[in-house]
Amino acid sequence: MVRGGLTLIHMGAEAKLYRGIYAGVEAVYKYRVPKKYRHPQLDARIRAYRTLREARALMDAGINGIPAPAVLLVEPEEALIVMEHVEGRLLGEILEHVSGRRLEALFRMLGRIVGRMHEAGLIHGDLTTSNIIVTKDGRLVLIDFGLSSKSRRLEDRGIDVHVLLRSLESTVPEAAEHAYKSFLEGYGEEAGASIAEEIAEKVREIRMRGRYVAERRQSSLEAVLHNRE
Amino acid sequence: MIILGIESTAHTFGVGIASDKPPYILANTYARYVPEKGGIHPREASRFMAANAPRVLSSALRQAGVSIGDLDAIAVALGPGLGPCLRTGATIARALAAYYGKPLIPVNHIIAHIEIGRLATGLRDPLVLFVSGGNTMILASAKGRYRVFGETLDISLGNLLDTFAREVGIAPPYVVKGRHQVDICAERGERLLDLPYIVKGQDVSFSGLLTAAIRALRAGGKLEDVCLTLREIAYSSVVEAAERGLAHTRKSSIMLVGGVAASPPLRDKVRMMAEERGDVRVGLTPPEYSGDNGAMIAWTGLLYYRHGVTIDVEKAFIRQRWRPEEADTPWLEED
Ligand SMILES: Nc1ncnc2c1ncn2[C@@H]1O[C@H](COP(=O)(O)OP(=O)(O)O)[C@@H](O)[C@H]1O
Ligand SMILES: [Mg+2]
Repeated sequence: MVRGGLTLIHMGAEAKLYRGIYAGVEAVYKYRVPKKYRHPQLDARIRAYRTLREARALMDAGINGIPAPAVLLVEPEEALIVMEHVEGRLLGEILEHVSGRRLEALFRMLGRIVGRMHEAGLIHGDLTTSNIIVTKDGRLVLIDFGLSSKSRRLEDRGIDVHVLLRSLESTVPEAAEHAYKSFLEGYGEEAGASIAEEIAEKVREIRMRGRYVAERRQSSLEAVLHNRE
Repeated sequence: MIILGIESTAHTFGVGIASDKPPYILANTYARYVPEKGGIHPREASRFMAANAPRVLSSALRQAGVSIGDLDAIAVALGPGLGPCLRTGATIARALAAYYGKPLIPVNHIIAHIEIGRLATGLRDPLVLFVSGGNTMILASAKGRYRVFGETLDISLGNLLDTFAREVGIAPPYVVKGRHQVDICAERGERLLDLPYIVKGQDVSFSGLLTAAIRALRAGGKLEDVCLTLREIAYSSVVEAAERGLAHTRKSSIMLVGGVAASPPLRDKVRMMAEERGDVRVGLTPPEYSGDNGAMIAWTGLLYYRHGVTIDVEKAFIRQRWRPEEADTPWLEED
């Protein structure tokens, strides 16, 4: 999909992103591409749903003072969303080069943003360091809300934080623990220290799942099949 | 260098023999426990293993044409897995090592799946999609270890398929001529139903899909349509998670391992995804090495032995929850 005045800036797992001008504003066009490996009906459903979800979440974020690009245009059937362009670099790209105080400050700030987002009932759904932009003046901006949802459940908040922590562990294992600690402090400043502690506990619990443990497996299955019916 | 490896983490008691010279794998024999009804009963499985171990062991030695005296060391999968099953394999390995005076090598079962896959497919540094009855994980090497980039938040893909098939009465047997009952049934499906598709970051979740599928059937849905939908949603979501892993790690190849890797529709989806991304090589592990097997433990044991990694018999404890990123992989540092 090539349109006049658009340059491809990113080919992600599910979308192509172009840079261009929209209504006189520096904009990013995010187009979710069809996937041949998915049943066409399922594919259409997922692309439209995520496009709409992303647009709604971006608006929600704006209303609640969570830094995210402004939405300029949404076309769910076309799986297209146009948003404000944010100048900066991905947190994941600069992480190798930050440590000490600066690392702490960054993650404390991130903790505050995510704490505020969760308090507003918004779950990001794909909170990795590739979905956080660090601007020149040192602000953080969240992007990529296609997997987001509305929820206040501890479980959903915990999974958001687990996804973030794992993205740290798999890319900067040596700094992960340090960064996570600062993150939780920041989270506590927004959501309250006791909630931050509950989240940390939930994350520990989530990490025990999906592991090959007979008892867990049996009991979780039985719960799924019989009790919760 | 000749290493014997023992696998006993779940339903398979396998013995493999590996050599550092081609053809590398000299023997790969096993006995597989299939419960008559319900899922794996760990204690029953372990009794089955103990009863079959001598036969499997001697047939491996015969296949390889070696005697125990020719072996340099014994490797054993100490985890992750079911306690009673792990204990059976560990006990046999410890006994062999002590009695014949052979060094003992501890192997992580998940690392072994990856390493035999690398040997079989020739891929140097792939993103790994590991799908089996016990695990669903997306892994890749980073900084000298295999790290987990995504996994299931609840039940495994194999578990989803088996439990669904069992609950709706189309299994056991779960697999007929290399195809899962759900895959077979899905071929006659016509309509895609609206069941939950759950991807969270690079993770997947199947328990909601399992309940919804069973509920759809009880509400009068056609079994074939439910199977089709279950197959499409389950496979698409792991392939999507893998694609996210590829984008994130920038690896240029993908390897499919584990018992469910034998599924033809899953293989097709992985191939289609790789083709669409372009420049992504695909490695499909041959069936004899994709499910649990002893050869993978022997081969990985050999990699460790080359680096002088062994364990005292008294310290060879099983580790039911052994994470792959907790296991040293000294050979990764050099490539
Ligand atoms: N609003 C934006 N401003 C600037 N860059 C952006 C913006 N949105 C996305 N990007 C860039 O495009 C990349 C992919 O966008 P993202 O929404 O995360 O899609 P994907 O699903 O492919 O990860 C981001 O990592 C970032 O580099
Ligand atoms: Mg992204």
